[in-house]
Amino acid sequence: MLEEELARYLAHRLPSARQVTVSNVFRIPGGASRETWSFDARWWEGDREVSQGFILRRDPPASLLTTERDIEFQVMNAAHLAGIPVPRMRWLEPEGKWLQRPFFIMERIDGCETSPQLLISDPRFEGARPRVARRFVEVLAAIHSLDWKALGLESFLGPAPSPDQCALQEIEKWGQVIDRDALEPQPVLRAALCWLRRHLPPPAQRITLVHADYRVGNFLYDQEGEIRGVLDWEMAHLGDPIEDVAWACLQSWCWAGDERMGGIMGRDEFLHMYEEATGIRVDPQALHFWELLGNVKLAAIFLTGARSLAEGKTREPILAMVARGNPRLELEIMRLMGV
Amino acid sequence: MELVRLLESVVLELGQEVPSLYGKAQAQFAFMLLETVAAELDEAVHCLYHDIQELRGLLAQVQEAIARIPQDHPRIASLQQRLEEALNEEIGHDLHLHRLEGLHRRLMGALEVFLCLCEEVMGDPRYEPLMPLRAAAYAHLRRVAVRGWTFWDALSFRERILKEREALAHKP
Repeated sequence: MLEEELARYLAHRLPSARQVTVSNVFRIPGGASRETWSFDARWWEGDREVSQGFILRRDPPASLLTTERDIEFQVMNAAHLAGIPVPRMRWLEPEGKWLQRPFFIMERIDGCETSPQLLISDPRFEGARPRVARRFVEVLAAIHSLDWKALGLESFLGPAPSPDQCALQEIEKWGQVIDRDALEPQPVLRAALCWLRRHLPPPAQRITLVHADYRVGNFLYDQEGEIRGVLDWEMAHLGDPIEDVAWACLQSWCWAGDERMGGIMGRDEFLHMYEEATGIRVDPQALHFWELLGNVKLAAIFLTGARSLAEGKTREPILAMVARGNPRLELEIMRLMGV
Repeated sequence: MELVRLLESVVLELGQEVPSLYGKAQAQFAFMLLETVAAELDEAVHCLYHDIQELRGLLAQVQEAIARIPQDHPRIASLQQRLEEALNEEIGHDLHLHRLEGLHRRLMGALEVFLCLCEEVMGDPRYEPLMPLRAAAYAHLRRVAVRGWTFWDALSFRERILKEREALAHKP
């Protein structure tokens, strides 16, 4: 069924194509915010047969995040055109007439993995790890160096905050999510929001594009250690780049079970390399603030998933599972608050 | 409990039969959820009962302490009202989970307002009587949070959770 619908859609989008066929449609696990499907397409253009792998990202009935898919599509498209390793974006459909729900399609990057566990423990990737770590910093530095004004990002991300408003803007954003989605009292999260308001970081040294989910586990890497595609841009916004630095350091992404950032490199080494690559100083107070807020944000995202499940908007077991993760986030939040 | 174990074995069997990667992942998530339920079900009433008793003791002290601080902070009135509502209800002999959960929720609601107040007045000497209770409140929440870890221990936080448990075991 989906094969036929996709073939019809591609035929519509590729008017010069003949005999469009779609095969190998399968759903990729993970992706708690949108359904992710992989498929192969073949068609004829003139006397040439074309084949291409695609990724479909379709809105679910409910998700962890209530983000706009067109923002994700447009920011990924802009990043791709600016030379950031991002899959090539192809089509955005805000209506549900083709596949029941809105979606977008991008080109698939083959021969890659996303799994952090494979990266840190599979012998096949042992030689690739140092390069992945270096590229992780270089790609983040490239994102933070993008000329967002020249790229016109404000036209769909909204106006950039002033340097002293970045932190407050994010506190308010995630506080509202907690207000909207919490199913029960949240003493740790609400106390943390009060704490954050009283411990604002220094103003951002510069305003940059913030990926807002940049971490080990959210990029495609190959066996040579090259990062081929940065994924999951749905929370991207303009703001303080230290937000991304702190997010990458969250305990939740310490996949090796120790203090290493993402399980792949020492935290101090990561911070030093980032400073070298960007010229942005990682102020310890700012890092601490954004790390605490990152944990609150993650807990808020989980609350959204829990509400979706409780209200019957979804039956995805991953949403139930992640909601069970908040006690560990609360523990980390209290540690960072020093209580 | 037997029913949960039965469901686990059904999910495992189905997971092996499902051909797609997505289906296998779903079965795995469902199994982990059931494992969490199995781990928590047996102690649910016991834990809630214990938490309620501890919270009632703590919030009764908060109620006394707020009589000794300035009454002009905008959160005070809301805190007093929530404390009255939560503490008026005795734990009693009805140990149905939904009732205990309701009672616990009201106590946690009062605790939420109390901690927000504490964070907003931190450093102001007029509110000093609240600070030992703030520390006690966070200690309670830490104990509850550590208990809440189940399958997460097996995923990526082994070292830290072991440290946390060890530290808590050595605290009076």
